[in-house]
Amino acid sequence: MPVSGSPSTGAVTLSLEGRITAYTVAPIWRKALDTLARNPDRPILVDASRLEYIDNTGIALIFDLKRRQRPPGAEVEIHDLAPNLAALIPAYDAKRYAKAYEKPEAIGVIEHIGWAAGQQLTYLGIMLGFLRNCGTALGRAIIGRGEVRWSEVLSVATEAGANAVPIVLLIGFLMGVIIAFEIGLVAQQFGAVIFVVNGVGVAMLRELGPLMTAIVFAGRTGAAFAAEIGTQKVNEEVNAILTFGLDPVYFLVLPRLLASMVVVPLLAVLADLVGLFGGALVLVTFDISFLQFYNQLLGAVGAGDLLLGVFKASVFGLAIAAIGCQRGLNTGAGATSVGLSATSAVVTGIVWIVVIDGIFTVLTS
Amino acid sequence: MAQMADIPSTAAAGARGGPAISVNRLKMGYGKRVLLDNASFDVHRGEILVILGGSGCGKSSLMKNIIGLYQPMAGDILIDGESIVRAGPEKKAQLQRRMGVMYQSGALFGSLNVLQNVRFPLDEFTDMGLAEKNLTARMLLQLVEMGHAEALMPGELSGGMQKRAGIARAMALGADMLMLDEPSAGLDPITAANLDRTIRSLRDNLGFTFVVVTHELQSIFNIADRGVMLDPVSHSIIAEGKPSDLRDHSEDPRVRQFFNRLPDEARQATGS
Repeated sequence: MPVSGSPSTGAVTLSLEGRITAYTVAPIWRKALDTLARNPDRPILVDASRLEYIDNTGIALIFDLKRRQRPPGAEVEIHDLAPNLAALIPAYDAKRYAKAYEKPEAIGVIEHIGWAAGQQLTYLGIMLGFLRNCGTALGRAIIGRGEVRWSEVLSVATEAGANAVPIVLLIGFLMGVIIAFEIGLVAQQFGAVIFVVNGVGVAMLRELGPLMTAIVFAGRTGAAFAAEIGTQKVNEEVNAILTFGLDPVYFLVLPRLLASMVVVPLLAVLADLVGLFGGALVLVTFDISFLQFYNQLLGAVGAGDLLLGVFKASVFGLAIAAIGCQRGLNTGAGATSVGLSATSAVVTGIVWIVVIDGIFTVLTS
Repeated sequence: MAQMADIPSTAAAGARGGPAISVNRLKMGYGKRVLLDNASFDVHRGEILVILGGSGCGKSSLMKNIIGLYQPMAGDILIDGESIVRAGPEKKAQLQRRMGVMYQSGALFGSLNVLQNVRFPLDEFTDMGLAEKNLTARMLLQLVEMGHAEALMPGELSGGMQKRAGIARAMALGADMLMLDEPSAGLDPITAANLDRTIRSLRDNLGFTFVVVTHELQSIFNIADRGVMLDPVSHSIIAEGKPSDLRDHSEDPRVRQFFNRLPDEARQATGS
């Protein structure tokens, strides 16, 4: 793009030539802006007489040059622009165009912290309200005063429970194998291999069975709950439920809470059993027979350990379902929001599983 | 499982005096953003009232305020003389069941087929037997010319079919007021015309009161007895009346521009 100065008028002429397209416009644009910056007090004449073709980016370039605020006598003038291209330029409203690019007002760190804290408090209020509604619905269902959609409970239990059996069996078995092997190697050095049975028994029944089942459940079902309900929210199905005068908590959340409360403990018991079997299998290689394993296990763990694990699993199930459903109901608009809700359900679910597990450990130790 | 709800019959509701819906000095919006202020209008029994206006003026939000999904910032909305704004949860649910709602996407439940979707309100709120519920649902589907599609899932339906099934479901509980959100948006001209005909036929033959949110001009002229036009700039109702009168006689350039489908330059040229 040639640039020339006129000694008589003091004007600087920018010549736009040939074809200006998205692929060629960048250096021309830079040079044009550079010329404007170098000549702040001189008029700029843009000669478009030798311009053969421009696309949208070329129009944007001309528009950009025209909209520049320059002092009087130093304006930018476009000369000899083809009439069809010249007609496009006024279609852009310079004021509205500039407004769209206004930067949002920057806020200070303190203000930002206050805003974020306010957001969290609002969210906490929403979550507490949701938990209160869930508690009421659950309480009414348990004492038999509230209506429960049992067909829905069964359907959720089948999908979230029966279909999760293979993965829970696999994870439970591998946990038992890994624990037995790791502890066995250390115990072998002290001649205390038989006590590995105690470790595997207590770890599986009290901790790993419920915990690993809950983590699998959060990843598999908590996310599914959030995505299902989130999609229903986006498709206005939740609004349709509301305008039938139905409560989404009763209609969508309660069946999932009840199903999860029942299914997670059952899955945890399965994980316990295959975990113990995996441990026993490994200990055979350490010369501990199945019968020795069984006898030692009876002495090491009791019904209390199993019941504690089952109860914990039930609470985990409740928390995962409540978080998944809440995230689903809180979904914004569009497909992205559904994805964010599902992700958030898994992350929050796992965090709360660990927190609840910690509370149980403190209370029962 | 099913719960009996207090659902007044269409005939009983129609016997009452006064407007079916009365919006009084309504102020609504989101957060601090006001969409509509000081809006008042009535919807008379058996009329088709169209809420119209450009995109983003708050038409759908106004409908959601009327059906009690959103809480207005100020003002009141009376359904058959009873405030849905101040109603407690049970009363509100009762009033909501008086109004069948069809959402823009149809909002059919994805896990239920068309017949089950239409039967859904009957399953939830009545003690009818399955055969009777199926019969009622099939009758409603015939009414909206969807009898052939009862076994299809929502995902297998075209846009127009979803909307017609949505209307059938909205009518299932004997609601005497139907709220339709953009019924003809995104439909081909023939399907849209058929849907318009269905709406008029339901009003003419069964006496339903309709509140229809739309900005489809052809649809407005086809179905509306009266229109209420919202303006996104002044956040107010700028016109109320018969659409053809608004088009031909309104002195407000914004109204003339809307009804004559003119670009901004043309409105400026006409001296507004």
